[in-house]
Amino acid sequence: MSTIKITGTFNGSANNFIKIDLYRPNPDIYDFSKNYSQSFTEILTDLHPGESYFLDLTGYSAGGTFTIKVTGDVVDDIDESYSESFKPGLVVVIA
Amino acid sequence: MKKLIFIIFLSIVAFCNNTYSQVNTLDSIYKFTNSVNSQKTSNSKDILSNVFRASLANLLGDSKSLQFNSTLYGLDSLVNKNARSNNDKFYTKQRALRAIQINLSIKADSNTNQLTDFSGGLTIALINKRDITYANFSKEMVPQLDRFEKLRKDIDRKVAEKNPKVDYKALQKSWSDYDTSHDYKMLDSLIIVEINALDQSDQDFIKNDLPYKTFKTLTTQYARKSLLTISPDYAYSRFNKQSAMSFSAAYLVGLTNSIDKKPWELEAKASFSIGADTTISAANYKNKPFFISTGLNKVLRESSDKVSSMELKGFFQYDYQFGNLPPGASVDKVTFNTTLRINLYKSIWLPLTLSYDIKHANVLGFLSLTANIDK
Repeated sequence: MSTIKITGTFNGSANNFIKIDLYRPNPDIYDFSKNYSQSFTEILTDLHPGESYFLDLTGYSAGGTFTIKVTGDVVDDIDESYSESFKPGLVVVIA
Repeated sequence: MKKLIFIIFLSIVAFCNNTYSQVNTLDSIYKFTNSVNSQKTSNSKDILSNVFRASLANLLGDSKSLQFNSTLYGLDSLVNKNARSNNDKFYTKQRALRAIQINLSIKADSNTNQLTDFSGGLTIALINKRDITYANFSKEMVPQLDRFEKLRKDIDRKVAEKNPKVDYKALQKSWSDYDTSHDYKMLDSLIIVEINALDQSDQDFIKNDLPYKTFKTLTTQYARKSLLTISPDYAYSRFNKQSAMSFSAAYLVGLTNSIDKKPWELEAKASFSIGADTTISAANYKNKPFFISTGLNKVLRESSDKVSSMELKGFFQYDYQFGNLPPGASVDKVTFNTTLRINLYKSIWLPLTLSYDIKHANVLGFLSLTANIDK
């Protein structure tokens, strides 16, 4: 099983929120979902090598930006930033 | 002297813009965007700036003044490493610094090419409900975001189940494109099919991007909340070697909460000064002007992000002289005034004020140049 590290950083004022959902849409065998209102680091260790997972972000940062980084056993690291209200979709491919 | 003051004004604007942006990029992951501050009117920033403000007043008159205002938060951000880390707890602790502004001014006479007056003072916000740290968006936003993610996850699972070979990256990219454009037609066609199968309430929720609209409404409402300030000021004149003191108060509140309408603001101001009657050669404090004004400020033009680019204010002002009167002058007067503010370029604004003396049917004009540096 593979391990990834998800780091979320809020740079700015108060009024921050992020909901992280990492899941396999088909078959529906994995579903990690958690809310955060400040910067965090999450390590997930039970991911299948060679599989693709949806990484959905739903959140807001009223006075700054939110930056997400995904590193570890992944084909490509992820490093993206968002501001105001945001709900993008990403894909994490496990190495 | 005019050129020197204009050069100093541009230098202050360039220095503050450059220094502040360098502070932000020194920390490579820090990028400051401020939803609420960007939607505050230029009129409100004349009362209390976000970070820095520079202005050249009375460009058409003989006596011009260069003014520089800085919140303590702005000064702290330049030198305090902790301030630049900008985590949310530290930003909340800096609330008091954002409520206090230092005001500096120098006045020059075009005819004699000399600096005539210096002044310094403070503006203190007694009520500043526009500060983002007073807001709590979670009550409205979190249920909307939970609902959105539940719908998105169900839709993605159905698309993946019906189309086992679907390109996951293309699907997710279309969600990101929809998020950036707020246009549901940017979504993948397979996703749109599933959206159209939802009940009408859920369809409208996604197609109209209600979470985004809720967020914009909340930030717009906070930019229009109450602001009450007091401003003590001390000035010194080089020519008659005398000081003057003044005390002012200002109140501002937005009148509309709808983001679909350009905002109206209600403003009330009062000021009392004690200074020298310059017709008397001896030191004295016999000039005691007082004024009170009230009016409305309207945003005439704004960008798609609700950032103001043109404003018009109309206000009545009552002036009363408690001290000595020049020969033939009235003890009081009532004027109707309009100030048109036009955004020339980025943070630079041109306020033009016309004042009509109702009793004596006189019209006066005042032209200034201001720069609000907060990005």
